Amino acid sequence: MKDETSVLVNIIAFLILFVIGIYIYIVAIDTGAGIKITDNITPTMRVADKYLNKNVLDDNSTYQWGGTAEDTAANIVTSVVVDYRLFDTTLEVIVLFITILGFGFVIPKDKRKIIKPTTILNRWAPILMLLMLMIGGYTFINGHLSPGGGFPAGAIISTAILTGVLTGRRTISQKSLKIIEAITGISIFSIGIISYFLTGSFFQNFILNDKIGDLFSGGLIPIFYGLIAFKVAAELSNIYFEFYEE
Amino acid sequence: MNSIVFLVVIPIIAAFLSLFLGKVNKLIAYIVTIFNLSFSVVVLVSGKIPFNVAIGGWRAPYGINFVVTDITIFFLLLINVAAVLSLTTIKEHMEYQFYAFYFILLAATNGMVLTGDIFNFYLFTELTTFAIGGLVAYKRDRLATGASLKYLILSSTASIFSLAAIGLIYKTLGTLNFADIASKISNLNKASLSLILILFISSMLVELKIFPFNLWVVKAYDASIPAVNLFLHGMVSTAGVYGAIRILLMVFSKNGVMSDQSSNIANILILLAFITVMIGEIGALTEKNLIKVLAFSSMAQLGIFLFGISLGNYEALKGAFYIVISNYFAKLIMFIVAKNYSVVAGSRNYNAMKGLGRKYPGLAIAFTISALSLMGMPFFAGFWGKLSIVGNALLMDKIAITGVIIILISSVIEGVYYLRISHTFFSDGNIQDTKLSRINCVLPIILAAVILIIGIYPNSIENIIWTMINEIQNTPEKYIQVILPLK
Amino acid sequence: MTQVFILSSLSLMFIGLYGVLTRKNLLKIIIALNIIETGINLLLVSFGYIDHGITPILTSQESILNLNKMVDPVPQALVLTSIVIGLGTTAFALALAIRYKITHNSILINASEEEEGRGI
Repeated sequence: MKDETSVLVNIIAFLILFVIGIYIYIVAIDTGAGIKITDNITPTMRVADKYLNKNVLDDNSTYQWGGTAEDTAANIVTSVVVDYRLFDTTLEVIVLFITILGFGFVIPKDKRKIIKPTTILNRWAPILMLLMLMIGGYTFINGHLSPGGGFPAGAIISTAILTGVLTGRRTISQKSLKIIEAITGISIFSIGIISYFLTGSFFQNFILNDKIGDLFSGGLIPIFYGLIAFKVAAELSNIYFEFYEE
Repeated sequence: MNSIVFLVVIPIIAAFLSLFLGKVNKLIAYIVTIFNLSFSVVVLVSGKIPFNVAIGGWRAPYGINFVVTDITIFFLLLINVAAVLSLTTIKEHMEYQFYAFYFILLAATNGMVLTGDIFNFYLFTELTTFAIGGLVAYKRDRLATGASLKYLILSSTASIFSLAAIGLIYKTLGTLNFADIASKISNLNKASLSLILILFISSMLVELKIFPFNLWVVKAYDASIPAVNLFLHGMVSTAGVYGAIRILLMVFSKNGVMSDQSSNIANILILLAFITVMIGEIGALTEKNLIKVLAFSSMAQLGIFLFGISLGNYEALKGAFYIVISNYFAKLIMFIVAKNYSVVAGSRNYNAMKGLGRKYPGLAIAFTISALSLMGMPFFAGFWGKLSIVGNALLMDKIAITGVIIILISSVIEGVYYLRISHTFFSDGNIQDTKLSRINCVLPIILAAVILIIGIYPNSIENIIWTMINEIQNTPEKYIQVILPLK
Repeated sequence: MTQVFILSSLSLMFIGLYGVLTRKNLLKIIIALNIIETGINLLLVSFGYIDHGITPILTSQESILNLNKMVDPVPQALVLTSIVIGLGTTAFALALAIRYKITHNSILINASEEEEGRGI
């Protein structure tokens, strides 16, 4: 179907973009006083300085490799995402929850049968699923030591379930996916409420005195990443089950 | 008072639980909303305002914090009261997804008002977008799908601009906290500040229904069930108004007046407000569908509000607050009346509702009182608002005087179409059998009495409004000292 | 090097914005929305970049001595959230587009909404 667009709309859109581009250029070369958007500001002049030095609570503290600090994750991006700004991450999990809920609500229900898989897929599917589960598990368990974390791990685990679905192996049912999603979501917020009763602030890390660089360091961070990984995996697998019938 | 975070956490947990509770969902919705409302009242009377809660124990600006000041508690009460009142209009059984969306909407609007961090604000706005997208598409028919899709695309595009603004703020000022930004804003280059402001405003204008981002309003109001109309008006618009006040007047400006260099931005906002008011009034004049008339009228009232805050004058700001309060109560009444009458008459066209005013005079009288208040008649709440704005705009420059003329013309047009609707209600007509119980008339009459009280005796809420304006006037010093201790 | 990133992300955003404004086919609009999302993610990450910087992950004692050469970790946290929001928007919009095709009988965004459709 040819997409008919009138020339007038194209010209107007082009003009709008041109004006926006010229405006950004004028702002970028402005020579007034004050901090400009093209200035070269290093992270040490921003809030990130305290995150890198891990001295938010006490201005003079330093830390060593293998020692303890206020937040013992070796991956500093993880410590920002899951410790200093944990509330944003929990809200992001809710965003995913509500969009997939809306997806399941709006999509029309015409499911289709799975076509018979080929021999190669049939034979290799269990091994592939096992490998993907292993890689996914490694990613979220080591989220605080190397790049990764709960969100990519959830995507990898749900790919394992997709491989199972494509070969007709019904490994899990849609009802139990809903239960997993709800239970992990409630437990993420319940840990926040428990930490309120234990320490007085919501979502405060109440497991301390670990060592930087250990597998079991980081306090609550691996627990949160594990819950997030399973939640994301359950939600993404929900999408596949909307398309294939029982 | 660290437990204020329960206002956000409890509805989210209820949203997860609602996946499994089929029939009990409505009861849980009432319980959670009344919990939110009573918690807000407890915070109000506890006398510890203003205070600051650091989530996670990390002090601001290195962690996220919730700030409660006078403006916050005022808007929190408005949102929760609107939520309770909107729930009373749900009479039939809704599927569990409706309640899940509703709980997330409640948590997100409460969080938007409470938060003190700009990226948190962006996340709560996104949550509101998706919740409203799901609620508008609840009926899943032709109109609802189109309206929801257009709202989603428009709102997503606009919120990406605000994400760019957040990135630029972080790159230049190095922080993401409202109070920290407010204390460092004077170091910023003027041209860069105006770029950041424009990017941020364009995402706020979607919720405030200002041209050119208001293409979604009429279809979304028409396509949704009446309870969702009330959610949109009572919760989302109010949170959008709070966002405009907090960000435009307290974070990005000095002393509640947009600074000189961004007076160009104030002029642009005034121009957009004019166009919005004109579109709203002329659109409402030609519509026959009652819900669409109310949607256009909401657009126009918010245009007048934007005009009021862009003038840069504290008296006009007081008028803008009056407009918000009068619009809030009036539209609540009107949407409830529209829902009840359309159920009896069987259609949303107000010509089909002829004569219903004689059978159910309570509702029609409440409707007329709200209409007179929106028009700006003396002795009604909207009068004080328009008086303050018009009176103070006359003392300023040419653009403001043009605005005065536009507001006066719009009041006349409002009179035409609202009185036409009221006349249709009270004129003679043949009515079918009664299907409406008398209980539905109680709530609009109570709210109409509130409008009359505010109109005749404005001192009742004048103190509240002046407390809030004092807070805006003393920014950013007082706001910052609540959050960042003196170093 | 930062200039290259910022310029390329701005051009991605402009291409996407042009697509959202001018295209009528719903799928093209959603794809253009995705392009804008990619552009803004690239823009946010490039705000934290410093020349010859290293990743903000501690691997041994000597990386603790190099703390002021580390790239900014905060925009990376913002981008993590933004990617997930983009995923959610695309999923929801695509589901609505499928239902739109069934109720409106056409995939163009200017299909009228007052006429009768084959509808579900």
